[in-house]
Amino acid sequence: MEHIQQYQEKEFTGKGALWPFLKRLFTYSIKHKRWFWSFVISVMVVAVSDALFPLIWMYFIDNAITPAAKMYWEAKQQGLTPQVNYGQLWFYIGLFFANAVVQVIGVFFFIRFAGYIEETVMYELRREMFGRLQELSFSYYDKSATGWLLSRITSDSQRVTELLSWGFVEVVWGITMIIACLGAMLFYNWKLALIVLGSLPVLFGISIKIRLLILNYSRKARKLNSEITAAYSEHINGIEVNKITTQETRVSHEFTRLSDQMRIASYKAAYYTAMYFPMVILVGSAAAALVLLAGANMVLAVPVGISIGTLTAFFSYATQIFLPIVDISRFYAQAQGSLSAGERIFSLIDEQPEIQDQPGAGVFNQIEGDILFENVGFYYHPDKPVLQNLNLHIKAGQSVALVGPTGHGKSTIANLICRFYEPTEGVIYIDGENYTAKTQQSLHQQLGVVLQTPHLFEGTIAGNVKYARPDAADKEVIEALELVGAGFFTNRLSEKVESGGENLSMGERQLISFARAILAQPRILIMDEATSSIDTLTEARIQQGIEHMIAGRTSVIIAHRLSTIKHCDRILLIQNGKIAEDGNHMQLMNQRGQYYRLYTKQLKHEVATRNIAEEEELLAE
Amino acid sequence: MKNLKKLFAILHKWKSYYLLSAVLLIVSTFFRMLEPKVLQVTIDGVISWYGSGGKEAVAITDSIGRFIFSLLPTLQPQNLLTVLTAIVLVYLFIALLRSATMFVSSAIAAQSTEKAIKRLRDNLFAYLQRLPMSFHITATTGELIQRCTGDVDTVRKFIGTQVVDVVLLSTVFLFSFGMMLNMNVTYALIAVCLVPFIFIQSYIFFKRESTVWEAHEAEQDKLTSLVEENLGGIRVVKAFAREQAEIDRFEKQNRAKLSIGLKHVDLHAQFWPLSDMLFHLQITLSILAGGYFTLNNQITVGELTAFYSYIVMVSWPMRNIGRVLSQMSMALVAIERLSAIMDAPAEDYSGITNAAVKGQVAFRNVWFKYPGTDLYVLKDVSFTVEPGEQVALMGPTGAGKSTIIALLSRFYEPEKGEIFLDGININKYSKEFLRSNIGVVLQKPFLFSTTIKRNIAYVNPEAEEEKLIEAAQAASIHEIIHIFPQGYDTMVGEKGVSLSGGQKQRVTLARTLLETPAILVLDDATSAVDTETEYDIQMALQQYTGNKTVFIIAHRVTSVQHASRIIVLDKGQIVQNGTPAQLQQEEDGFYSRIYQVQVAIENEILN
Ligand SMILES: Nc1ncnc2c1ncn2[C@@H]1O[C@H](COP(=O)(O)OP(=O)(O)O)[C@@H](O)[C@H]1O
Ligand SMILES: Nc1ncnc2c1ncn2[C@@H]1O[C@H](COP(=O)(O)OP(=O)(O)O)[C@@H](O)[C@H]1O
Ligand SMILES: [Mg+2]
Ligand SMILES: [Mg+2]
Repeated sequence: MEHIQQYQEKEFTGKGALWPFLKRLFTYSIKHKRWFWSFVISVMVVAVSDALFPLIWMYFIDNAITPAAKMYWEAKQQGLTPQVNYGQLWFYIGLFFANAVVQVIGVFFFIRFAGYIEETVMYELRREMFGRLQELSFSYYDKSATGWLLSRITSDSQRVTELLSWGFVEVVWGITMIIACLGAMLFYNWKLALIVLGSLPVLFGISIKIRLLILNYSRKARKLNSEITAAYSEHINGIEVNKITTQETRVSHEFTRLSDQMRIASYKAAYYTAMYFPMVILVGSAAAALVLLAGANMVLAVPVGISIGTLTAFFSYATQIFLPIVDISRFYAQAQGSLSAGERIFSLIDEQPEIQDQPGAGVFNQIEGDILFENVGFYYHPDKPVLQNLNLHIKAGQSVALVGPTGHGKSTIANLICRFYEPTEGVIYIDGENYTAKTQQSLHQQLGVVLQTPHLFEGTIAGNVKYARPDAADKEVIEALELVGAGFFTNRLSEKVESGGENLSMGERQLISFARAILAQPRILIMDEATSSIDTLTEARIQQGIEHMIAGRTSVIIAHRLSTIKHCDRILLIQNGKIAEDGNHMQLMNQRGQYYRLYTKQLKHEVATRNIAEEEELLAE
Repeated sequence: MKNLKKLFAILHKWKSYYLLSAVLLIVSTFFRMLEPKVLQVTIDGVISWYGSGGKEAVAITDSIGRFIFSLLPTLQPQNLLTVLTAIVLVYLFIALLRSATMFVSSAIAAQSTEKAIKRLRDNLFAYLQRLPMSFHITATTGELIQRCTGDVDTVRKFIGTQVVDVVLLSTVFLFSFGMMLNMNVTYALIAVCLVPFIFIQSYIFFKRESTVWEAHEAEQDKLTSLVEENLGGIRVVKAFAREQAEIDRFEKQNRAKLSIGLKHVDLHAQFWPLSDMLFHLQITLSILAGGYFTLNNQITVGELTAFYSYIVMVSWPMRNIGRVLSQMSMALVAIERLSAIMDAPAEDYSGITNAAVKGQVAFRNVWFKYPGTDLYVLKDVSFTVEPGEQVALMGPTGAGKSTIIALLSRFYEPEKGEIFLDGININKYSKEFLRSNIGVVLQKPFLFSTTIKRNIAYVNPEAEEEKLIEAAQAASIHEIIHIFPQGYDTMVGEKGVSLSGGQKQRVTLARTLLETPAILVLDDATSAVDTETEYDIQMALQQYTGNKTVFIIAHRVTSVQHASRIIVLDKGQIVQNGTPAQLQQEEDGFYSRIYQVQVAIENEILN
């Protein structure tokens, strides 16, 4: 049972390499070439236009405002009526407006394409994951909690595609913006540019440092979040048990401990986030102050170093240069934070089904139903073999009952026949052919399986019976239901079935899943304790149905009740993964072995007590 | 705005902290407003004075500007550097105050948010545990989980950052507008003249966003439950080779989600450029006006630069109002979905909590149908069970046996009639007390994904080892657990996947036997157990059931042999009620019929 320890979801620490993850993720968006490049270019346009505003402003002040203001002032001094010339003003207003229009167009395109990429890649990732989930074998589901798998399809895919779209917008914008601003500054005054440039390493340093701190805590928070999700899932699914054992208060109380850890972790993350902005703003302000000091000096220097417009432009660059850095570092943190989500997604997409069709596998045509186990060995985990060296030949059309104590391998044998698992040793032949050389599909289509735990899907009763053959007529549905003694459903066909069949009694669920298997008209019928929750009379009634079903097809029936198995051609007593006894009912009884004991120990006791009771009654009379 | 009120209710007792945080934020915004002033004072007060060789000084007309100017040393031809240093220091001091208040404000907001959200999470969890079974059976688990995690997170983001944003946006708007008014009223009014349009446009967007987003969430929910259904029944899907059909179904829903997602994107691609355009229009207009005023010498160059900063600041909230509104509509949708849980009526746990339960159970003329259906599942059911009696409930599948137990445990209330425990109507007892006095082994064995030990000790995690083993032995599972390498510490996997059916049933049996209440109910508890083991269990149970009232629901005659009485249900009605011997006499009755079936088999076996 060690394997069960490994049941715990493989932990995706997110400590893997960032680069390969991003590279792989981006292949999804680059696939949409036109969107991708339009998106990148429009973001760059927006960034350049953002960087242009201070420049336009600078020229506006220097060319349109200062000289005119000066002239006006001088004119006034000389007592003349000042002449105001609006030509320059209109020109720069035009420039402002043109730049704005360009930016708006850019915004339209990048929102559109970033959004399209996000939605489409999400769609693609989900499709790939879902497709893969349908291929994976039972063994995968044995060790993966469905809640975890579900969250990969829902939230994980959202996380990583957000990185592709809005996250990427920020980097492209940030990088372009920094380059454009620095270029402009270097062009106009390299000394002041150096001051601003000098603040960049500090800003980057602080950003990365604090971001990583935040990341650390938000990772912790996310891990706790999945524990919280698991707790919700478990205790919603187990609500009936909680109520019947009156543990609601206790589990709710235990939950508060978990949510408290969550509170602390997310508070820490929020705390450092709260610290981040004030710090970068402070550094930006320091740079701006230096620009002011040096710039004002230059304005006043003789000969004049820079114009007032240049000073204001540099001042606004200095106070804004932290924005792109904030954005770039946010992307970095977001990418780091999505790494584990990405690992989960890609590991699912890459997961190879344990059972695969071999290349060039043939198909089973009409199966006769001859099943041969040749030295079959099987384990769920190497440490604990379930079957060893099992040889078994079930002839076409034969009905075989598997009986024996629980946990000794009956269901396992059934699972192997269905190829839900493959033997770890030896070979299974169906109709004389190694079944691994055929496609799973062609086998499964000819199987009728009633699993030990009946599962119904949300929908209607008819919909569930028709699951394997959606095109079946209502008449056939009714026939199948009647055959399994569930005729009372005939006028409830369109009744709603809740997820899992929660609103039906256990026995009803079994009957419906039995009818479902029958409607599939399988060549091989497998029933794993399919009637355990059905009352004896109904069972007796459906014996006819069962006999009808097993006539002409191979069937393997696992059951405990004698009434169910006595019609079978052959009974196998499975013990410790081996066939301990083999024969029909009479033969086994006569062997006076385990089978005999299994069914008489209780009976003997009963008959004895019954006789005593009857004697007592007689005496009493 | 009922939902908005609910949103504020979530803040609970931390409201005052939020207020403090808001005040600090306002203070911080005020300092931020001072920053452009410094540049203005530098240009108008300092540069122009030194630039003209101390001859001409542009007057600083507004009060705040004058105040900052008054902080500087008196201007003298030689002390330019001192003056500039002073300015820089003032500027840095303002920046420091701004950052510090901002940090404290955000930290307080974060602290209160996390506390409020923790409370919300706890409440949700506890509330879900208290919601009646009728709620849980119809609710989709995946959707509930999505609400408790995803929607809670949306709310968290909203109160953590977006409420703060609203405060920030409005103060930035008001303050920068105030600063402008302080300098030039006309200009200030021009600088906000497009605000009403931006509001109208944002409001229209908000409305459309709400509907689109709701539709988006609905499609997303459908996708989630589709996947959940599929994963829950994946073994059936594979067994019937229906993978392709499932993929097609998923593809359809995935496409539906994609197209609503694209619609959502389109809505944004419409709104943002438009709103940006208005924003830029507003700025251009302001610059035009500013240029005009400067050229006519109504404002100074320094004032113009300060104005420019304020124009950007005053329009910045407008630019963001769409975002805040859009997030608000998402949060409101989330709140509504959470309310749907919190507003559902929970179970009432009040009532008698201490009484010495003897175990007399009586049903009197009980009628019942499941909520939302119109078929009576129990019809006029009456019976009395004395303390210490062992009663078997039998009857065909769907007859209503499990329903009787559900009513006895008060998962549902009878429609008509009454149920008594020790002569007191069970609705007088607190549900918790009642259920803790009834030990039920449910028909569907459910295990939590933890160790076997913790599953058995579920009712009492502190139970002693011996008691645990005793219960396990009675359930005939001890020997098997012993064989597992990890013994009682073996993990059982999700819902117990790695145990065989009979093993699961026996672990749940042991769980119920750990604490032995006055009434014991076994609902088909050994159906997946082989006859031999079942026999062992029956023998072991004898010790436990000494003077307890016991209900056994079972199908095999052998399982009910020890019952002192048998009640047979059919289609919701009691058709037989008596000792096994009595029922055997009633020819053609249910019991004698199964008895015949059984005896026929027995004869076959024994002869
Ligand atoms: N999916 C699984 N993963 C790991 N172990 C399993 C799994 N299913 C069954 N087992 C173990 O394999 C053994 C045989 O189980 P099974 O074939 O289900 O028995 P049964 O005879 O009751 O049908 C048991 O010990 C059981 O615990
Ligand atoms: N939660 C539910 N909602 C609606 N109908 C239900 C629900 N549970 C059971 N039923 C219906 O009530 C009837 C009695 O069910 P139940 O008491 O479980 O039968 P059983 O006698 O087999 O235990 C069945 O017809 C079943 O379909
Ligand atoms: Mg089994
Ligand atoms: Mg039942």
